[in-house]
Amino acid sequence: MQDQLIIRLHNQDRTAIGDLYDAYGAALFGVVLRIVQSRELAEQVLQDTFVKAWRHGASYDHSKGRLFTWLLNIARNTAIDATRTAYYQHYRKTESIENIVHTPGPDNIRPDLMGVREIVEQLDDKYKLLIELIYFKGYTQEEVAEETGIPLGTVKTRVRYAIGELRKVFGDRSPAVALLIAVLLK
Amino acid sequence: MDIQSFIQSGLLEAYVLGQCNAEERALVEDMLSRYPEARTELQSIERALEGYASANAVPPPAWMKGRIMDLIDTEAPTAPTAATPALKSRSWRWLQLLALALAALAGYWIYRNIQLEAEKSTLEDRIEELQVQIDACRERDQRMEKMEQIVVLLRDRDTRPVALDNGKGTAYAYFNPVRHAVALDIAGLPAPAPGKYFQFWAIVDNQPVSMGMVDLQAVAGWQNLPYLENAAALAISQEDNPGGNATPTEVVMVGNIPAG
Repeated sequence: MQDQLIIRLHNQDRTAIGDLYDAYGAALFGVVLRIVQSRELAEQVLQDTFVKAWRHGASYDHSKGRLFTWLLNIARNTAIDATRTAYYQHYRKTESIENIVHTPGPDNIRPDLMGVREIVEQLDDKYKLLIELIYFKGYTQEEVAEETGIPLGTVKTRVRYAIGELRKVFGDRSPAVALLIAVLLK
Repeated sequence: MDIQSFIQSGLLEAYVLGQCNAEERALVEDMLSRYPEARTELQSIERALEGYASANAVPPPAWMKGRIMDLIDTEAPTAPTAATPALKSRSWRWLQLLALALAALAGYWIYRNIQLEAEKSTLEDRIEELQVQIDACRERDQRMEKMEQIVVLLRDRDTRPVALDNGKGTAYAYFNPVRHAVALDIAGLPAPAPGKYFQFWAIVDNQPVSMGMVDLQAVAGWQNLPYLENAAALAISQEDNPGGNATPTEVVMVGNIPAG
């Protein structure tokens, strides 16, 4: 199914964009919202993301990563560009790191998924912060080290550890199960 | 670099996070092409971050997908087959709506016209009916006025009844020398012979003087007639000519005016 989708994407078949949107639109919107911190701007960024995916669909190489990773990179770069505009600078003060950390996480978690929830919640704030800054906000590890005052080596170790913790929840399951968990977590 | 230390290095994580420089990226892609373990490791990292993003998903507004598809359609000359039907069906839909609206308007207009036509004819009938009633009222009014006049005449002490006798019955005329009034009670007259007309006469110095034709349709059954001074008698003749004759042809009724 994924292969079919990739072929359609390469052939500039518009239905591929519709399917990608259905599968990843909400996850990408969540990321974009965290970066731009404005619903109006996030909507614009999400539109631009899928239009770019449409334009550059032929250049997607599945051997270099999953579709979501590719889309997320487009979304993140588009969102970061949006925050650099004069309009954005004028209306939004730079978010403090504390605000990012306390961005509300998923609620309404089902009791039978408490195990999953605990792992996500148990992820220490210092690891969450790194994931937020690097994965969602596109900071380089050097920038994180500079911003937080944590040595670069420590940043790198913590990123690896944080991702390792996430893999306990999502990484080694089949994509279908991971998606199911993600849906149930919502 | 052996595969285990490569996996431990954190380069794969940096690669997924888009943190690698060109040199590192080339190394990672080389390792990925050679070691299936590296690929498995990469996919595991990707799923972990993908799962985390999905867990923090926020549903975009419902209109978003349609907007994106529209944007793609407007900038995709390579896929005109997909764009045209959407546009065509949209304008077609507008045309359908327009036609429907016009049909509804025309329908209402026709319906309203029929309704107004019906109302108009009802009103015309009503006007006619009222006209008939008005005519009837006017007629009744004339009759009342006439009867009031007659009552006044009959109550007058100077009025003298003139009995017109034809041998079979009696009709009455009323003569008032003070008021100079003469009235004939038509209701007391017999019907004239077929094709014949009644003419009224006053007898003065034994000579008949025509007072005009008797009007059997007179209002309220009373006919006012000209007054003639010194009349001694009144008479009614039967004539062939509807306009009357200079001298009576056949006198059918006659009566003397009583002396005051």
